[in-house]
Amino acid sequence: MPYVTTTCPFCGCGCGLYLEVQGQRVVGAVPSLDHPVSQGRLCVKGWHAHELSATPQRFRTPLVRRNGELRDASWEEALDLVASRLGEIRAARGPGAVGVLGSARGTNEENYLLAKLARCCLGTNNIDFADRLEALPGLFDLPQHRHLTTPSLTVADLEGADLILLWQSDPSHEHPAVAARVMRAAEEGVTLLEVSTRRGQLGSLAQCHLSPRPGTDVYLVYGLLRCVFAHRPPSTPVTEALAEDVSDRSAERTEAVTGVSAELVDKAAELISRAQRPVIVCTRGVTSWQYSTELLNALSALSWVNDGALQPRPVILWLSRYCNLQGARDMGVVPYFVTGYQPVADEGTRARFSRAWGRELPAEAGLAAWDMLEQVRGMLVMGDDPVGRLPDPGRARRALRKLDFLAVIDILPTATTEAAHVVLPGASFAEKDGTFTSADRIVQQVRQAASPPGAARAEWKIVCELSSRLGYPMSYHSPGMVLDEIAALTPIYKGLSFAALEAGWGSHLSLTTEIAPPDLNGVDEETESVLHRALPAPDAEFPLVMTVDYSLQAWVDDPMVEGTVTLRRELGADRVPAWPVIQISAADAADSQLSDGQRVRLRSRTGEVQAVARLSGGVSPGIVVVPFAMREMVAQVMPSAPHPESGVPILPPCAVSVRKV
Amino acid sequence: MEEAGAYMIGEKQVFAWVAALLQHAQVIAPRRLRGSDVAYDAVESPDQVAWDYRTSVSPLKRRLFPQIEPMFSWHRQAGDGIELRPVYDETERVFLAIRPCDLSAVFLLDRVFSRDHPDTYYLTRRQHSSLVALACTQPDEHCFCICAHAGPFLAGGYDLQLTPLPTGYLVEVGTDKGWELVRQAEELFSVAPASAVQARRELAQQAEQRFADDRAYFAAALRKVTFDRVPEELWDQMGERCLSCGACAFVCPTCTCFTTADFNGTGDGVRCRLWDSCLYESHALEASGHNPRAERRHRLKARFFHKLSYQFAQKLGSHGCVGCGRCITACLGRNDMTKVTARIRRGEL
Repeated sequence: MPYVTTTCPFCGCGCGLYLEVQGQRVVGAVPSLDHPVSQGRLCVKGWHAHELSATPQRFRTPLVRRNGELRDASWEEALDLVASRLGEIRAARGPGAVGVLGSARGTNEENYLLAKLARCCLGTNNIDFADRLEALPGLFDLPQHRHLTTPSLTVADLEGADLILLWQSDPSHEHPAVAARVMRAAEEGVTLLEVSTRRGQLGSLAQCHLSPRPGTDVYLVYGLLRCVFAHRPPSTPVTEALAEDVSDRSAERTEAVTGVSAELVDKAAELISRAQRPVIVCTRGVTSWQYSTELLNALSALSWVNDGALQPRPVILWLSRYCNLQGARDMGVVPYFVTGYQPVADEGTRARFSRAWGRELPAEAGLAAWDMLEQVRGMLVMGDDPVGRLPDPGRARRALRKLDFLAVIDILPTATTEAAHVVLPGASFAEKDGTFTSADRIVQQVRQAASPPGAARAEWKIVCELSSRLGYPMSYHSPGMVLDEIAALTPIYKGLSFAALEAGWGSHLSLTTEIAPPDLNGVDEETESVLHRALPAPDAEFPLVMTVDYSLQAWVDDPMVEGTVTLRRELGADRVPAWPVIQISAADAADSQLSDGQRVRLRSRTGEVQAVARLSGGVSPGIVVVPFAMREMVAQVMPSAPHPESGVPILPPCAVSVRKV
Repeated sequence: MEEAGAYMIGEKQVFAWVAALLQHAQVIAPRRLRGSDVAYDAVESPDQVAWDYRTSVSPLKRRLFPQIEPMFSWHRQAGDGIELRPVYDETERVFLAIRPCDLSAVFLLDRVFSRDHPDTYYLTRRQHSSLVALACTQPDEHCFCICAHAGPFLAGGYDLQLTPLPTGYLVEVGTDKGWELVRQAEELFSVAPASAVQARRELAQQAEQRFADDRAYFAAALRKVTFDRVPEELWDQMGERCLSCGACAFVCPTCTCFTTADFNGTGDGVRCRLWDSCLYESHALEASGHNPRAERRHRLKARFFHKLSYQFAQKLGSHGCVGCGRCITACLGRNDMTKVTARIRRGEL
């Protein structure tokens, strides 16, 4: 069957496409017209995803480091080495000394098996993945907060929206299938609002563009809520309480803090107040900064604004970046959950899984990915790239180099494989069967269209072999068997199987749409002053505020982009500049007599670097924007810091100056 | 067998005919994928041909000019020798039940790939192909072939053209190759009566009526595009919505841009050509770093110029669009060729 139905391996939209196969090789891709997300469209990445199969950069044999260099080795040798070294470290220093990282791009089946290996073979809950960072864990995985990043809305729901609010999210870069829908909606008269530090491509279609000063988003939401209630007076106990909470957040006060004019705040609020079916699009831009919990809480308060509706309607469409980020969380690649958010701390959960798996589950929560790197001695990483993904790549790299042992399963070279003692070659999405769970919780299949190149193997098989060598035999005949087991143990995946998924275009996980009333206790005076102190404080010496942008050049440093012919070229992975490129407004450039492309000195209170300044009409005066991919280049100016409550590393905005060299 | 311009073949005989074709050639025909998706694909048995389809998700060019195509392989020999082996595809193929728009595109591709430097890869495949059209009696949502003079019925160029009639298909013979295809299974065909030929004419007229009124004829738009009398704002607006996905070039039956890449193992490898798109930012990027089409609006303007201007029409004998409408469906930003053409023609922004 020369056209194999599968799901795109890049972003969380989950577009459906066919891989064209000629003589056992994957030679092309074409979008599915019938598929509810793709509808005949793909972005540049989907159109070239098939190149992953053919690219010469793929790992084709296991590699073992000898005399400082990675050299070809046999599977026997490599697997034995991984099992024995991890086993030794565990035996000598206890299960807490080993850590495992799973993958936002791996299938549910391989992630599940990896988590099982960690818990059953290694006896540890040190199982996580670097991209879980995007969901600001620790807080959002608590049951009462889960609605904040558990979308009940799907991409298709954008079609029924009467107002779309893009909050620090630029779908044209990160989720093109969503951008396509937003553009169509705007064309058909749906109100479009954009709140972002940098105006995205869709900004030209928006009725309003609000640019709050970096770090002040949550104030803006409080101000909007207050104005919304002015236009649409509260009529239920919940909305009355909310209105009370934000009663002193006048538009003028909001302007003073956020820099967004009172007039614009009121205009946007008025538009929101008229909406019956608003949708708020949130991505990493919302969750990866300091007060994300408060922000998402506040945004979700809009669920309650519907006039007369006693049932709140979900309004947040949270889009995770990668094709199976959602699935990795669902599969328990999390230090304190097994599958389906069932806590390891819960005795009943442990008993149930111990019975099913035949091993006692460790009760103590494990280390998060960013802590793991520095606190364990040995690691097994599957399809993850902490150096490439964490806010502080330098620190991650140093930590990996200090490990006694690092084994990495992957398909292409990454910054993490560079530090590995053993590399085991895996299979791309085109070379294995499995499932992905899209950002909006639709489980879809990927199907094998060709064999993995050279001696590479599907990850689920590699994990089974390692597990058996570590004393916990795993014998599955197929990924389908693995999904059956997942479904039996995971209420939210109940009833799923390859057979059930065969007809149609995947299965939507039905989750509780119960929405807890939002808790706006962040509005009190004490928290207020804490919020205030956390804001970057520009002064005469450092008059501008620099912030990181998660959507600009979102894919340039992605190994799957670097490793394919066309994407590498088109997304700029082959043209990494020598200096970081920052964007500033024409007004600020004029103040410092800077021309477009000028080399500059970028300074902050922590340090300085040379950079190249590009003038951008999308950036407001007073703000400097740098793409996340260049964070290491500006690390001295804008260092990573731990979130004050959760300890998760973030990149807080900071005050800077930009001068000619 | 009596030589005639047109034959009839009954419903039941069609099945047997396809079975006969499968004996000596690969048959590429519309085939159901999943849901309502249909694509031109090799069929293994007659029941796989989806005769009642509207359009294929991918144009026929994919079969003559693949998305990734090996051109030659190299092999290191003992000593310093390198052996080069060109890869040509000489498989006999019958392209069966192909829509007139897609076949019109093939006629254009024939001209593109034979002028200047004849493209042996395409031409080899083409020489071993027979083209059997299936005329359209019902246009699809985005179709506008009548504006491009590429359908819904073809006047010529095909080897055979089939028109669905109540009792089977009218089979018009266009070339000697087509005549051969009929002769090889002559017991399945009978000379078409005048009534069938008349029915075909009527169906063609009815089909033309079925296109929506606002389908935009190209002639006036052509003049304005050729002489650059289109307001820049139009390209600006389209540029705002373009996400540079490349889809319009890939789903377009007449687009042929490609790049090359080497895929090598140890010691030997394969040089392939891969589809490329002029809508990519890096498409025109020069080694110096200069990019003559850095902005999306310039790239879009270039694309429309290529499809609609006289210069190309003169070189290639027709303008570069067959009205299949796939670019409209495939565009993330919903840039619509017909709306744009209409706006150009009417002088609107």
